[in-house]
Amino acid sequence: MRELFRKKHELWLRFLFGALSLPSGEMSDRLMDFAGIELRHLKWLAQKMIEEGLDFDWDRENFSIAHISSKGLCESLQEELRKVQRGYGVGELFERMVSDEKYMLFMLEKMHSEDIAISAFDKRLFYEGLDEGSKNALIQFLFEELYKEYELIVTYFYSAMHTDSIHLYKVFEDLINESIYHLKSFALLMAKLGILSLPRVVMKEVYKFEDLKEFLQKGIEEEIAAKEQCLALSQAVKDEELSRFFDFINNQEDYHIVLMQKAIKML
Amino acid sequence: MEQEVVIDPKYIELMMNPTNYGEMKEFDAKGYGKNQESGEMVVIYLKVDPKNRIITDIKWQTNGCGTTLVSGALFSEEYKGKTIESGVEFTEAVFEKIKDNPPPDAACGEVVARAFMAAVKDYENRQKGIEREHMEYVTLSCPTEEPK
Repeated sequence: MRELFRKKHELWLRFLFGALSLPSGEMSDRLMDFAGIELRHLKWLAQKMIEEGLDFDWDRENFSIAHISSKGLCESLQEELRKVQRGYGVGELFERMVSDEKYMLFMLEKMHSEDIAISAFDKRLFYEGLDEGSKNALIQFLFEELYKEYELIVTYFYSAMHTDSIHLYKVFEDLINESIYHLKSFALLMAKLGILSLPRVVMKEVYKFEDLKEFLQKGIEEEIAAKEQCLALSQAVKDEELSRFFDFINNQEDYHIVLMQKAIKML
Repeated sequence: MEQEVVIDPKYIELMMNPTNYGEMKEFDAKGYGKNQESGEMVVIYLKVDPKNRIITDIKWQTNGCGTTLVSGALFSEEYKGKTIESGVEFTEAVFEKIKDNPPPDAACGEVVARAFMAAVKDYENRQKGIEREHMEYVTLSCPTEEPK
């Protein structure tokens, strides 16, 4: 089941980044919904593994997500879905997965009728209204923060699955949802610049930590640092929409700190 | 007309696909480098040919920043194909070179180099049949004592 978890993890990322690579529209929305379903499958699979005395990890292969059009993307998603299904067992959870993915396969087949060009990987490095310095700072910020948000998602997920406290679980759930939103927002900016890429694999030592309190305290320090970066970017960029976006993210970090402080008090 | 951005294409490439990044399941040596101030960590895995002590494969992972990521990728390219001794020489030259850099910049390179030195210690110990975790700490940029 460990291997199946890794494959489902990859599948979630393939749907998520597939959706983010497409221009906004029905196809992107649909793939984003499927990514959400795959993430729920992951959660249920993790719960099942823990109930059976197994542990899961966030190891995965390095794989390419780059496609030049939606047809190639849909074909590759269909292929990966079929491969993953070979690893399913029997029982209600696997029946649910098969049923969901049967519909996904049907919809992916239907999507072939429309072929949409994908420019998220063309490395054009152009962002209207940004001077060179702001653009360089933005690129660096996006690469670093995309990884950070992914790291937070997998770490909070791991912690949520391993806590017996319903209160802590709720805090982790909020933090996961917040980080998913941030990851999606940063990935969309990367797609706009033509540099959309998968975040690198998170090392075990990061999410299998010994001291939750220390992890949360470090997390608060990182949130403060991220706030400073958002503030600097907000002031540096001349584009109003982007400037407001970084103010908005900066302000969201404040409540993350509150949530993490709340979690520390529960320990 | 679209404005051209002056950013090193190699940087973009390494951020998107860092060379040799990942975990090695079967390794001959494993070492950690850690910056206790920032919590940044690097782990390096080595596969070594016992006949000539050449590093035939290398993998590494980090939770660090972009500079650490780029340093890790570039250093791993350097280490691969070198003997353990040449790798140590290269690392000592790195320590010498970065000691005058501003602390945050130096720390990013140093944490990778420390991980390599820890992996070398692990390799030598494994040759003597000793298996224990090796971690080396960033000292040039933020002096810290290794915990006893």
